[in-house]
Amino acid sequence: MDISQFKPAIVYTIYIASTPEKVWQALTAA
Amino acid sequence: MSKPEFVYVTYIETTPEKLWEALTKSEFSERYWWGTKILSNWKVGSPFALEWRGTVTDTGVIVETDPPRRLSYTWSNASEEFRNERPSRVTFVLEPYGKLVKLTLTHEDFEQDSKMLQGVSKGWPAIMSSLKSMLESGQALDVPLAALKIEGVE
Repeated sequence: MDISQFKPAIVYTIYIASTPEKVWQALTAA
Repeated sequence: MSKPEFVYVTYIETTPEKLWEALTKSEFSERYWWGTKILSNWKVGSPFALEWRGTVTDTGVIVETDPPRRLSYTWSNASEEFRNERPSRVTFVLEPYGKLVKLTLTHEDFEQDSKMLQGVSKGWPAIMSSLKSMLESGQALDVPLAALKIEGVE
């Protein structure tokens, strides 16, 4: 299945003053 | 009536008054919007313009103003690329909830297959994120244009 032209109804993007490591931790740590 | 093509919601720890100032005064917009000035007297029917490094990049007309709750203006990009597109419309709705303000931005009424829509859909999240950071921490974000991944923009 070619999804290169697929357009989702909603894409939500946010830019955060952080590091990938800290965001990852926030997403995965209890 | 068609649905707005672009909707962005963000919650900001601030007051409606401070957020309104940030949306309408260049001294703030220059900090969170890559140095862009927002120029208008914010009266219904008055012109609106964005200015970047001395060049007017976008123009419009104030459609609605109800400080500090609701602001709406039309939007046309001045560049050759978008000359044939009709003006779209930007609306900000500010709703206070305790220490927070819920900010809802809608950008609508684009041409079918609009290039402008593609661009603003990538630009607004960066601008709104930077606005939120500025109001909450005092420091706006310096989002690299390359992060937006807009065709032809690096």
